[in-house]
Amino acid sequence: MLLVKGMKIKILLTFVLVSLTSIVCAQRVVVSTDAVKWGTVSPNLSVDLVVSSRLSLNVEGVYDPLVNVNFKRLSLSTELRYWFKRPFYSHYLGVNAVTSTYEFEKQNKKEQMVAIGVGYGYSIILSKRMSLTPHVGIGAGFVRSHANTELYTPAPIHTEFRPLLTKFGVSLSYIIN
Amino acid sequence: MFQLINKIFHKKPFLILLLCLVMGSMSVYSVCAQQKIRLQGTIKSIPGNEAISYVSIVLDGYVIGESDVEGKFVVSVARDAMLNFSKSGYNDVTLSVDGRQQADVVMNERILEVDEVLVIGTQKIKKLTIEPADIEVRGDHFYFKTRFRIPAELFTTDRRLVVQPTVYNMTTGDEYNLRPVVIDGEKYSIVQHRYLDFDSSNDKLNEYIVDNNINRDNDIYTYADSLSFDRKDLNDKFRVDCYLTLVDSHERKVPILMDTITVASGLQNVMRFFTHSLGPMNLDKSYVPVGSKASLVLGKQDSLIMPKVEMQLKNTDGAAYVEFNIGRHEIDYTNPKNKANIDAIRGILSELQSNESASIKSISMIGYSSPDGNVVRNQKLADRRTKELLNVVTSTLSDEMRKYVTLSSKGVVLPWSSVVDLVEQDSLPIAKKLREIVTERNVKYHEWAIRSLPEYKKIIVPHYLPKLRKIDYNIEYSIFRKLSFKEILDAYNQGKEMSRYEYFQLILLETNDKRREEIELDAIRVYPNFAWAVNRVAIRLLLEGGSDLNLQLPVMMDERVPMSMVYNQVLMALNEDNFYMADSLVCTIDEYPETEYLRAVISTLTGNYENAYSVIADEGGLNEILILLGLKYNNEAYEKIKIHIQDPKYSQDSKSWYIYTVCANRVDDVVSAMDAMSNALRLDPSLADIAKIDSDVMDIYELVQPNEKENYDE
Repeated sequence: MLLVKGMKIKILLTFVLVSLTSIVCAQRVVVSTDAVKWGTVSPNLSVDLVVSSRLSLNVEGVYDPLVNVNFKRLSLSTELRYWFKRPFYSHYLGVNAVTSTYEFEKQNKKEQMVAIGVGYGYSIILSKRMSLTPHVGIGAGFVRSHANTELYTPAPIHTEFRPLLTKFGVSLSYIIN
Repeated sequence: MFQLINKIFHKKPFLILLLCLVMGSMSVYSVCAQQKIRLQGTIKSIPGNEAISYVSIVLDGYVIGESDVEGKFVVSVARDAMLNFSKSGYNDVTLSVDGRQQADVVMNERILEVDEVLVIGTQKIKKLTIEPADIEVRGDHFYFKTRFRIPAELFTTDRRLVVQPTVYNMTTGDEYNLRPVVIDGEKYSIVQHRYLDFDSSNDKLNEYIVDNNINRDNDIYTYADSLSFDRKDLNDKFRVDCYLTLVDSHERKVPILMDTITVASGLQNVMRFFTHSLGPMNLDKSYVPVGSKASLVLGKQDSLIMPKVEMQLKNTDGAAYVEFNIGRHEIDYTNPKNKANIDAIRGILSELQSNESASIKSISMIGYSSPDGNVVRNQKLADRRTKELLNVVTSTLSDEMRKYVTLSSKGVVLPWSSVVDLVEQDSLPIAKKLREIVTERNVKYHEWAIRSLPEYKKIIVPHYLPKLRKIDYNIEYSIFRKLSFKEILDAYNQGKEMSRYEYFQLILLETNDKRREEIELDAIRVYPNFAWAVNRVAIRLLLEGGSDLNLQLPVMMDERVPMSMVYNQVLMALNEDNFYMADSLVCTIDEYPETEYLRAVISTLTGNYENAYSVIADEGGLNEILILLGLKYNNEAYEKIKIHIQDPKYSQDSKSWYIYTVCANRVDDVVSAMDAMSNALRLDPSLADIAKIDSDVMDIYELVQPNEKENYDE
């Protein structure tokens, strides 16, 4: 419960940060969406703010309502990307942080995850404003899972710290300005 | 023993064996001792049938001989030998001896196929090549044209190439940028676009981008640009340097490649030696004869620019003594004196009337009456009398004249002091007394005091009072009156203001040349648009070879300026090397046959060789050859200069030899060019300075004078 609250605070914080930065130094705003996640019918949106000639700040959100048979998910992540050549052109290395909650219907458990990782991606230029960026991120973090029961006594919470895949996907980006 | 041998000999297989052995030994013997034969011949080449010397003759991989200087060879070889003849530059020939002793060999020249891409091993050359070109001088512009090729290896799609040609003046160190060429790769173009907020105008080099999709192989780009320059720099050494820069789409500070290529050296200025024999033009469109001073030709002048004879306003005045009867204003004609006076005035008037060159402006009269008697009555009387006289005198005037003439009359009563003045003039004794009366006593008492003098009746009345009774008349008229030369000269020397006509007279009649020139310049200073004088000064200046563009400007403002003056202005512009002003001026003159040659000269000097060709070609001489060179008809120019140089008038002319060098060099006849250059330099060593900077002969000059060291700032 505490973690869930903490996560909400984190969400709020990230939102505030994002809106602030967008006011202060929005050199370029890039909007992307992940094709892989659409494959699992998870709506997602990612916003990149190009902060300097080689850095961009990425905020991604995925929300999966219980339409999907497997799980319900809400995930938010930020990543600071260092592009070797120019933003959305060629390679990048990034540092990311992810928080997410999962609800597995079948296994009847809930999971909350907080992780930090390192990501890498490569951007292919499709046109003046479009790029395709496959990326992957590996890290480690805390995963707290507990059974999703409605019993009076709360179910036992199982926490572990383990390596995780923080990010993966192929995102299609569109440069707004 | 013998029996045994016999037995063997007579056995059949032994015989066969013996036979084989003998035959074999014989054949072996013949091989070992096979005789060599002497083979001789000549080696010739197919085109031109020339002997080829130093051809290697190869037998079984060993060189056994060589052809000599005349292409002849002699070898000793077996009768059935196969010989190989080879020399670099020719295709190999294999010859079978076949027992011959004489054989001629014919070899083909090997045609070398030069590929545009040099293949060294399996690597292609990765350099950007720019075709060497010339800086061509036309009028006051440099024209520069070249082509360049970009090898594909140099260029990946995320790069930009900037080629910046510059014209560098090695003598003064000035550098002028020509238009740059920017070529972007596809990726570069997209990334650049994103980086600059999708606004092309943020890229300062945007207007120079020639291609932004270079992923084709080895494209050739053509380049042409022009630059205006100051004609005083024509004798400087120029060079075109191309600066190359290759940058990455993301690396802002350090370019991948920076290089400088010198593409052109020296100026190609064929019109350097172009001469024209244009001289100034007189007002009647005839040319001023060569070697003459500005003549006083007054032939068929344009009347518009001749100063008109001027009117002087003069007046005649005088006094008439008309006797009136006392108290009456009518004029008594019977009085002979009256008649004389009146007739005199009338005479003047009628003379003026009948003179076409005169017109009366005004007639005014002032009548004076003496102070004796009633002042008011006297005044009235004076007025009436004056008016009467005026009427009488002007009765002879025609009605027409009356319209234009101002008449005025006035009567004045003179005070007693004027009597006193007259008396004093004659130094009479009573003058003192009179003076006393007039000064000390009140005006009212003057008359009484003077009348009471005893001398009044005797002296004053008969002598002085009548003198006062007169009528002054003033006739103002204007008349065309020519002043004599002396009068004008006097007025001029006194520093009086002169009219154009007076200057005209002065200039015409002054005999001293120097003095006349001074007067002309003075006239122009006072009347800047005095066309006739300006024209004279302009022609004189042109005959001396000078020019002053501002001299004729005030005259040129008039839309009716004569054609010959515009022609002279064009010549002045040419003398100052201002070809474009000359060109724009000459367009304002209609096309007269007299201006045809001028137009051709201007066309040539501004680089429009096609327009000028027919006229200049008719002129012949060096000019014709120069314009052929300008049009790049190099072969025709070479033919013509060869004929030209044979003319004894030009065979010792250094300029002709110089141009011979140019023509020969253009058709790549290096030997003749070197001879001609030597001749030219021998006849005029100062041509060396021009040869060093002239791209048409620079290389020949280096061959002829190789030890010259340049100390330009490279």
